[in-house]
Amino acid sequence: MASSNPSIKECITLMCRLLKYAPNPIHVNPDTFRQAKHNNPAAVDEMLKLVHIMLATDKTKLQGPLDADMKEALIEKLENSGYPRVHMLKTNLTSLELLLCFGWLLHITKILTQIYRASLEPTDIFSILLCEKHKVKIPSPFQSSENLDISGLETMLSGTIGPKLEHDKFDAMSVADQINHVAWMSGKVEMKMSALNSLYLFTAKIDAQIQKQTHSATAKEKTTFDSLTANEALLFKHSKILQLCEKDMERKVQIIQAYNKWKDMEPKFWQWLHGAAYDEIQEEYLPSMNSSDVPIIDALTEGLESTAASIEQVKSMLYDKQREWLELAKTDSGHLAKVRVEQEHEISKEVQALLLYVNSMENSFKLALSSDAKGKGGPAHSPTIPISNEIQRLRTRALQIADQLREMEHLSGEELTIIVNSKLNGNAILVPATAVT
Amino acid sequence: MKTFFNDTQCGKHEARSVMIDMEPKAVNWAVQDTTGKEWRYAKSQQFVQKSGSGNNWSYGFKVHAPKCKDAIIDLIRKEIEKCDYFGGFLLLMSLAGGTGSGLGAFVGNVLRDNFPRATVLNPVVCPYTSGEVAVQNYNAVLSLSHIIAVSDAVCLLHNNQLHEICHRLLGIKQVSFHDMNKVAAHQLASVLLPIIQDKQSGSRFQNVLNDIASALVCNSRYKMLDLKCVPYMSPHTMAFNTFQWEGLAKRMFQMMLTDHHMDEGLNWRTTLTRPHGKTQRSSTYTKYVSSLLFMRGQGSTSYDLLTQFGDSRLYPTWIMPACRNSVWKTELPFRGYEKCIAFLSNGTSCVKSLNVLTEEAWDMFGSKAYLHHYYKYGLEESDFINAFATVENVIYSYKTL
Repeated sequence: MASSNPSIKECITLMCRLLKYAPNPIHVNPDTFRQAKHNNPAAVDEMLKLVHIMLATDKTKLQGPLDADMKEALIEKLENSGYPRVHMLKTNLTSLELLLCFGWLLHITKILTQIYRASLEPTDIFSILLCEKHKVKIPSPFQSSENLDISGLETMLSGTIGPKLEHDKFDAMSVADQINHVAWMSGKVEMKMSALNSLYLFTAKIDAQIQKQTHSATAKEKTTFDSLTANEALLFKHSKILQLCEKDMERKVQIIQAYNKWKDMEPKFWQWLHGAAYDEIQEEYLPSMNSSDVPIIDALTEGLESTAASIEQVKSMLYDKQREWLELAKTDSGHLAKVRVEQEHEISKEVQALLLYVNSMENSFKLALSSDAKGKGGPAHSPTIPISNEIQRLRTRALQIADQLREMEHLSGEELTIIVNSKLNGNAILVPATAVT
Repeated sequence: MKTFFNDTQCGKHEARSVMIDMEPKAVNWAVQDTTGKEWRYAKSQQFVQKSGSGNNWSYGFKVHAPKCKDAIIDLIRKEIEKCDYFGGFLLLMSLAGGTGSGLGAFVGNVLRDNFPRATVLNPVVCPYTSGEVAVQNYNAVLSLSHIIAVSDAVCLLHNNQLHEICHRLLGIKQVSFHDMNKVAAHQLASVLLPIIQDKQSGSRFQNVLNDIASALVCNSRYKMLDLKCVPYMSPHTMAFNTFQWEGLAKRMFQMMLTDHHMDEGLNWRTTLTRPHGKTQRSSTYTKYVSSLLFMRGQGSTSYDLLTQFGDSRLYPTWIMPACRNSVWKTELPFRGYEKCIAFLSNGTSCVKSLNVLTEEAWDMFGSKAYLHHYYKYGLEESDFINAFATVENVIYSYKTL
């Protein structure tokens, strides 16, 4: 199996590594795929999470397995996305089915290519800084007060930023004290503003110095550029930002390397998944045919065979008539008779073609039944359209053909009557066409 | 180092300063004093005239200042341009003479006009209570009235106190201005040398002046600062010191309570609470708007200072507990002292000295003594009245704390 194949192992590992860098990072154990292929129920939760994250539009993290509502929403989302095997997910939510769903999503969303393309984009310092900012854990205002430790926050509010305003105490103060207090606080804000202003001037000065120094340096070296961009200046100024950028570039290099390897091995993954898909389809149809569909198919086969037999009868009758008309034409060389003979010949040809079609349909239907009954075939021979649909189509077509034949027979009968009527005057005797059927 | 000095090509550090005087004597002394040291004053940053101000505030403010204004601004701008990170101005001046008080007050105005967002901390040297200059009180009041309006903080250094410290604590028998200047420099350095409070917050760019101002002088009615240090020791006795943080903190707290400038001759009877638990009357101990403690030396960061420094009875109700008292600590020793505590406070300590100055000035003004010296250079009676009103207003504010 695939698990014994080291290349597919590596291939899945690469895919998992790439998925970590998705906009909505997906952390999945490569072994989950192996388990899913063997339809291990233990992998269902993990695969569900995987599919959920791939379909998710926001970056909310899942805590624990998906509940019933979430599963329902997930299937609905897949249905809306056009996933063709939603009915299977609804009835039987197995890890193998979810693996197929994942494969479909991987193909449709082209997520790995997206990750790769994103890694080709130049490093943007501000987005890196924003990411770092988001990493800082700030207690959520919606977090329950039981779990929330706000002592640090209170210290921060009372110490660094400013004193915590105690409304009760403030109200208890005299007006003069209140004015003094407000004057004090506004003075503090003003002082902080002055400090910020000094820092702003400082940064502006450093920027100017960097620009000046790099300009002079590059002018000496005669390079193509003569000054730094704002981002480059930032890198020069702040070693921490430089470190972050280096990390980001390393990450991008890793993505590119992993993607290139993945592209080399991608066919193996799809082959592996194809095998899994074939197993799943085989399991889907065989049990249902044995139980309920077989009698219908038998009846249909019987019907088609009887139709084909009646067509054969019609055919032989028409040949007979054709022969008789030819003889009539020889004895009576009337123009009308010739035309009729030609028309009937054409009709006959058409009937033959139709008969051939019916026969071929019947044969293919029989073949399909026999191949399904035999069991496994290779992935290349596996049916791509469900058999029940094919049976339905064949049946409809067979009925149409039968109707056409009846109509043609009727027409032929009418023509015969006309010829008989005309030839009765010439002492010709023919059997009425209605007697044939 | 870079906070107060520029690097030069010859390897010597140059003080980030502009020296201004109307006669070369004091500047030359200062320059000479740096001979053989690792740093010096930049020659290009000195503004010296040869006429002097004749101990007349009016002459310095009304005559010299307008003439020298452009040159002084030019020098200040040049010095600022050398700074990567400009934190503010430390405007050092005396209150007694004509140049320090008159021109100094004018320079304060110029700084505020040209650099409105810069923090200006103004250490001023108050004259001896008697005997220095006849018109010293006029000069001091006129000068104070201006610098109170333009400076963010005014730190009062008293010649009397400096002299006493030199004489009693350092054992100097013939106290010179040079000795007193050393003590004043020691006091200022003990609070102005940057302290790394939080390594993660990038205190490399600590704005000392702004930090001090935002901790102590946020209310524009209360700008007067007082500076105290423990211990003071002569170089000979420094090797034998056995001070512990607890002892130093106790002394400093008593100095704070009794508003005493040195840890000798302290009144230990003054306490916050009486034995039976009743609060002592507020008039018997100094009250503060806010205070800042600087602990320098080994073990300072691990020592928990007495909580009394932030006792609510020492501060008005409109100051929130978090703003009352801050402590800055560093493990680095200061000027050879193994342990040192400096106390910079905004409180009623200034009332006594300001009262003395204004009362004597009022007495002189009432008898119209020496006024013609001021009137002849453009000063008017209303200017005196306004100056008195401003200083009296400050005294009143502190008295009602």
